[in-house]
Amino acid sequence: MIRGTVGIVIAALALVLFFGDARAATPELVIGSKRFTESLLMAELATRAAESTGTRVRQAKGLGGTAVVFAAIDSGAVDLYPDYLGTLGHAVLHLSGRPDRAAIERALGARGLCLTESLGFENTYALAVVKGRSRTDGIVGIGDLASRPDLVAGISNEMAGRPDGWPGLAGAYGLTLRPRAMDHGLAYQAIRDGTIDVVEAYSTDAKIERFGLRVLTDDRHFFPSYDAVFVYRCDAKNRFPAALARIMALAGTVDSSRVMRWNAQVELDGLTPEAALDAPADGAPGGSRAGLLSKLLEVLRTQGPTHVGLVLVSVAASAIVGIPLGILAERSRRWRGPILAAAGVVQTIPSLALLCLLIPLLGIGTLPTLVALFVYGLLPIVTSTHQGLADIPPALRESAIVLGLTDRERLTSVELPLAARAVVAGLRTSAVIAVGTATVAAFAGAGGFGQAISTGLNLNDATTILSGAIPTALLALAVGGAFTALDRALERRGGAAR
Amino acid sequence: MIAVREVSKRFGTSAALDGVTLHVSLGRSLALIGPSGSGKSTVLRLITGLEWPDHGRVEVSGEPVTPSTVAGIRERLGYLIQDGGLFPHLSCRRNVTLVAELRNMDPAATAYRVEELADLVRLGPVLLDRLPRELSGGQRQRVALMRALFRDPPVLLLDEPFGALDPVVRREVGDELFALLRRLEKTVLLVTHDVAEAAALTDEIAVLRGGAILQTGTVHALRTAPADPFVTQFFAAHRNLGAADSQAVH
Repeated sequence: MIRGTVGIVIAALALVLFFGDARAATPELVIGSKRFTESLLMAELATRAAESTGTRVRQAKGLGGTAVVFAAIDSGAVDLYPDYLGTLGHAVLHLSGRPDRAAIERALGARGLCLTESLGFENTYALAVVKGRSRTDGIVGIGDLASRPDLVAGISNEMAGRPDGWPGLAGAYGLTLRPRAMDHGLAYQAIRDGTIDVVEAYSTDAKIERFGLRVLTDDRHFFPSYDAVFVYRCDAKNRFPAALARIMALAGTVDSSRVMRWNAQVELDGLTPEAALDAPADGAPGGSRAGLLSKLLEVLRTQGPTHVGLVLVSVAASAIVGIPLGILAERSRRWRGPILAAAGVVQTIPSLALLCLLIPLLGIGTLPTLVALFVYGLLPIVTSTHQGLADIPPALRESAIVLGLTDRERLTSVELPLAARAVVAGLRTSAVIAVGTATVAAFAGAGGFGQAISTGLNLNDATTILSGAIPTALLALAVGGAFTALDRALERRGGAAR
Repeated sequence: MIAVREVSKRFGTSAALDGVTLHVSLGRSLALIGPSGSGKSTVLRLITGLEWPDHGRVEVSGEPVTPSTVAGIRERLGYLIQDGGLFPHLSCRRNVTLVAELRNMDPAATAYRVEELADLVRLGPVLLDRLPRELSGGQRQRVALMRALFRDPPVLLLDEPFGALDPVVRREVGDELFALLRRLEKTVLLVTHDVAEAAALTDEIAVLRGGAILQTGTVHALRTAPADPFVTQFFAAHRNLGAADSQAVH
C-alpha cells in the first residue's frame, strides 16, 4: 500500500515535530500512523495491544505520509508504525528488483529497525473498473487494457510518479492509455460519474464493494506483495518488552475481510477508527453518519477560534510590517523597487510549498502557519499603502509642507489619513486571503477549518469536506463585509483621496 | 519684502526660469502673468522652498531662502492655491487649526482666532464644521484663506487662487480678498494667467514668457509703453476688459 503522497521535504517536518517530545518524555511507546484510515486502524490496534500490558502509549496520528512517518521512526521520534512490505521495499528503502522479506529486513536492520510478521492481510495495489459498465465490459485483467488506448485511468500522484507505479506497469503490460493523476478520494467520485474508466484501488479498500468495482487481475504479478506489518525500532523490544510481545502476537490475526469492514465503517459509515474496532463484527453500522449541520456546528465550535485566531494574528502582523514597508516604498526611491518586488515574489510561492520550506526552520504547528499567512498578507498591504500614498494629489502634499508640518506630522495627520481607504482595501484583501490560506494550516498540524477539509479528503467524505469549506467561505464573506463597512465609515468621514 | 535675484531653474533639459529678478515691497502687490508654462508657478515654488534655484537667490524679508532657513520663512508665508488645497478628511475648522493643534497652541486662543478669521472672510461659523467637499468652491477658498492667514503672515502667495471658481464668484471673491489683504497690509504675490484679474487686483504686473520676465510695471505702463510685442499681444487679447480694469485700479 503506497497511498499518501508526500515529498521528501515534508519528511523533515516529522523530525522536527517529534524531536523535542521524544527526548523529554517519560518512557512511553510512540506509535505512528499515516494519514489514511487503514493506517489509523492498525495503529489503534497496536495501541490497544500495548496498553493492555500497562504500557504508556502516545499516538502520533496521521503523519503526512510514508516519507514523513519513516523519517520519524528512523530518527527515533516514533517507535512503531504500520506499513506494507511492498511500500517498504520500493518507496522507502529503494531496493531494486523484487525484494523479498529477508532483503527488506536486512535493509531495515542496518538502521536499527525491525519487522513483525505479517498481520494476516495484504493490501495490494490494484486497478479496478465499474462492474456492468458497457465501456469496460470485456476487461477482466490489466492486460486487457493494452488494446484500449481510449480509456482514462485515474491514479494517485504517487503512483503516477514512481517507477514501480504507472510507468513500470505500463511497460510490463504495454499499456497506452493515458493516466490522469488526481487525489485518490476524488478518483472514486470520478469513476462513479464516468469521468474516468479505470481507477487505482487497494485490495482492502471498502469502496471496491460499495461502489461495485471489479478488481483487474495482475496476471504478470507486476505489483509486489503488500503484506501489512508493523515496523518498530529494534531497541523498543528492550524498552517495552511486554508491549512489543503483545503487538507481535497480533501477527496472523487480522484478515482482509475484517480490515475491509473496518475501513467501510470509518469511510462509509462515519465511525472513528476507535469506534470501528469496537463495533460488532456482523451487526448493522454501529454509528450513524453525523448530518452536515451537526458536523458543521462541531467544526465551528472546535476549529472556529483557531481559524479566526490564525487570521487575526497573521493579518495584524502583516499590517504592522506591511504598512511601514508601504510607507518606505513610497518615500524612498531606492527602496521602492526592492520592497515591491520582494512582496510580489513571495506571493507567487504556493502556500503548501512555503509551509514545507518553513517547517524545517520553525517546526510544526501554529508558528510556521502564522509565518506563511503573514508573508502572504504582506503584498496587498504593502502595495495598497504605497499606492494610497502615491495617489495623494501633489497639491495637498505641498500645502502641508508650506503650512510648516514636519515630515512626521505630514505622514500622521495628512498622508496616512488620506491613504486610509486604500490601506483598508489592502487589509481586506489580505484578511480574505488569510481566511482561505489558513486552511493549509491543517497540513502543518495547526488546526483550523482546513482540518475538516483534509480529513474529509482522506476519508472521501463530502459532508466532512463541506463542514470545513462552508465555515471558511462564510468567514471570508464576513471578513470582507467587515472591511467594507469600515471603508464606508471612512468614506463618510471624508477620507477619500480618490 | 520678497526679492528674487537672477534666479535660474532647469527641470531636466528645459529651462523653467532664466535669470528672473523680481521685487515686491512691503505691503505692495505684484501679479505674475503669462501663458501656461511660462514659469509663473515655479517662482512661487522657489519662494516656498518646494524647489531650489540652480542659480541666483530668493529672499523673504531680507533672509535668503535655504534648506536651513525655510522652516522659519514658511511661518511668515501664507500660501493659497487653486481650489484651496484643503485636506478633505478634516473639517474646515480643523483645516484651519491643524498647525495650531500640532504646536499645542492654547485651544481658547485658537478658537478665538478662528472666529476672528471667519468674521474677516465673512464665512458662517456653521460651515466651519463641515467637510470641505460640503462647501461651494467660493466658500472653500475662504476657508483656505483663513488657513493661510491663521498665523498672520506678512506675505501672501496666491497661485491661481480663483482658477477653480466660476466667473461671477471669481470676481466677487477676488475683489473682496484683495480689499481685505490691502486692509491687512499684506505683501502679495499673485500668479495668474488672467490679465484682467491681475490688472484689477494688484499694484504692479510682471509679464513672464519662456522663463524670462519681459516687463514689469503698472498696468498703465505696460499698456502704454509695452517693452515687447508679446506684452502688446497679451494685453490686446484682453482689451475688452480694459475699461472695467481701469476703474478697479483707480
